[in-house]
Amino acid sequence: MQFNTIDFAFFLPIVFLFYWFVVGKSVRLQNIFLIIASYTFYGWWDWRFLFLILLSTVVDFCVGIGFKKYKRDAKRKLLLVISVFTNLGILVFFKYYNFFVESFSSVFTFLGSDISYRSLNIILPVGISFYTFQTLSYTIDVYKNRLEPTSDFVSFAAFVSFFPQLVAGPIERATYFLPQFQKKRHFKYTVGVDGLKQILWGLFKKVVIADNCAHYVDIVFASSSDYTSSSLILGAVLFSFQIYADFSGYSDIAIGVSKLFGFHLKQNFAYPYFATSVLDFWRRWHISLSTWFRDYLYIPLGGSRGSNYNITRNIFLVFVISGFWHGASWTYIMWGFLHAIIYLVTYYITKNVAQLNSKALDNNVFFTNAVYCFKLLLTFIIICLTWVFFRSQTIDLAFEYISNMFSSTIFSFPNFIGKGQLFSIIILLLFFICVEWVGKKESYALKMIFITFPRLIRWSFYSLLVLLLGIFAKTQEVPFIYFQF
Amino acid sequence: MTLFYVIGICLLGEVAPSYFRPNVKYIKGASGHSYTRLNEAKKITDIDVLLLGDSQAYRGFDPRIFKSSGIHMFNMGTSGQTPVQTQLLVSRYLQKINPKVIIFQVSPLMFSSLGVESSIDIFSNDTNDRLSIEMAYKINNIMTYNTLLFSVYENSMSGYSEYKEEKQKGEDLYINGGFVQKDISVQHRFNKLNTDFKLNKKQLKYFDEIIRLIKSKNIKIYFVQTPISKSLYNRVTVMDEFNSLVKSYGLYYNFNDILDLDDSYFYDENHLNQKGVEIFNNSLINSIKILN
Repeated sequence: MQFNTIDFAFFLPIVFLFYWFVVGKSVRLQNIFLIIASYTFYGWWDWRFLFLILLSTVVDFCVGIGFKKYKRDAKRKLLLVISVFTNLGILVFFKYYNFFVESFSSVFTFLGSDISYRSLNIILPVGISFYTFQTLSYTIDVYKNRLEPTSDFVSFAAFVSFFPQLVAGPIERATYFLPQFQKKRHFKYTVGVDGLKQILWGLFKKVVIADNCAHYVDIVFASSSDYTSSSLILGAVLFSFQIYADFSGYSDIAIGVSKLFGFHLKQNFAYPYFATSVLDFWRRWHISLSTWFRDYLYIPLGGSRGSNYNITRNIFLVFVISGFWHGASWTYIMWGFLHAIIYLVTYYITKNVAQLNSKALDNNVFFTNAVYCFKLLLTFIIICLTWVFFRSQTIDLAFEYISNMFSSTIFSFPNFIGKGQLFSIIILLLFFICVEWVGKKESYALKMIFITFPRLIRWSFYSLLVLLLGIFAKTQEVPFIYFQF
Repeated sequence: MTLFYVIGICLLGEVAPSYFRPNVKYIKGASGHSYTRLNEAKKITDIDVLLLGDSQAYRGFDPRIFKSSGIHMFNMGTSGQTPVQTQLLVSRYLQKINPKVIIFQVSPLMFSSLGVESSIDIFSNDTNDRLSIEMAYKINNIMTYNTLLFSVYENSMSGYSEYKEEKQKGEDLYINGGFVQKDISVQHRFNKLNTDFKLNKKQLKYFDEIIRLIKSKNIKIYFVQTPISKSLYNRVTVMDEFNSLVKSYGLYYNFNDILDLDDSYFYDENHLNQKGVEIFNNSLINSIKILN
């Protein structure tokens, strides 16, 4: 089931009412009901893959119990290995099996010896990369003694399968999220209203911004060689907005829905396109995944300690693995690799080069603002260019796309979109950017907008968003991009 | 919020250009002359043959050719008509038109579409009533709801019958009896249509309900597939499944098997030009005459 479907519009209120009014008196009953609702939510897509979630849940729960029982290092390590192998084994088989087989075959062919191989027709279970990482965080934290293992299977199963963030995150840490399943939740009207507002803003991002950009992005990326440079630039910019609005929209809906059930999830996006450097971008983009890699890969590898070689190696590893996490394709690895290079360049520049601007210039408001705008624009351009690798089918096509972006047709009118359509998408994007800019100090843009204004104005604004949803929604539902990861 | 939404839809439909209201697609007098045809349908009674179907119907069955054989035919095809729209038109007009025979033009395309665009054609060009709401609910799509809302507003403001539709629109000429003639010389470049059709279960259900209704009124029904270009016919992968499905409902003439027409008889991949219409209609009339 997806958040942007009629099915979910019926599912959510039913689950909400049952959760608070029928099973609301007992935490255990609420958790059991959440498991049923979550499994229904996931099974709506394909019930067969519920067994994978169950397997992951049972293994990690038992491993947690094992950690409690065994104090010796060797046995604890063995348990950790079992958990890591089970979770990553499921992930590797379903997501990467064909990629590895095909890549090895290509290497052998390149070396002159053809080998026969069989690729399997494997369906990628929705959200597998998200829930496996979430359960892994539990076992690693328990192993490291950062968290007491739970002996309550129901709350653990509810934690693993919690439907709002099951299929596309945010990836929550057990240390922060699991305790919320173990204590009584209380419905608060203000939190509920806040949740609904966040859902509305998330839906606006997904349905109005992302899906309308997607329409044009699909056209341009399907045959980029047919279009002018201006079209390709516009296509890359539209994809940048599409992926941000799509994924952060999902996160907003997930966080908003969680609030309705008395849970608090951490912010996953902090206005990444207002970042002034690539370093800053990575503090704002997909925060739950970035911090996961930071805590469970980068820091164990040594983090920023040690020689420049070690730091460079660690950053490269994290970015390339993070790229590979997105999908079994060389384009994602290349995307991670490019970000690693840009990140490292920025990292060493900011570390070693003295600040050039003098105090006098710092006090100059115009200069400060101009530098800020320049940095913001430069970061956005760099991010746009890297997204081309993320979106393209192959690395060759991505390079071709980028090289075609700079030709004599750069100043011609884009040849994949009419003037009216271009005007309407620009107006929508400007509206979106303005709201995000005004609300950028909050966890989501709509949170405090018009909050001090009379109710009529506030509600008129919310109604305008609903109207835009009704006017610009696509007639066929467009799946969330991150469902494929 | 609901009031704001309703006012917003009406306001945008009234003043905004189409690219600022993609989900309010009110098009009175759209291509296909649906307005004139449905207006004419309101005045027709007791005819020999009623024709149902999509653009292949209103561009493929010429009432003048039928009349020359002594058959009074009315063509009630509308653009992209799927069984959901046919069901509405049958419920709305069948009793009044009271035909002796119904010819149901069928094609795999009309069973694979959701029927969104085709419902908009009917909302915009016919009077709306309870049946319109039922159809919108069956399609359950935001564009249909919005357009129905605006159509109701528009008809109540400016009146349904105030509009006058030109009979000649570009290469299309409306002929009384519901037919749209495309000039005999017109032959467009054949754009290859997407043929990844899947027969929609809901549409099959509505089709089944229509046939039951027609049969319950003791009206004879023939199913006809109009000729389409050979390249298109051969590309449709569900054609065999579709043909056997329609056969199970009654007498079915697939003119792609009966006639052998090359591309010069079509103005695009799935529409006959006037030369093709004449050959096809005469062949159909002969087939029906032999049968009766």
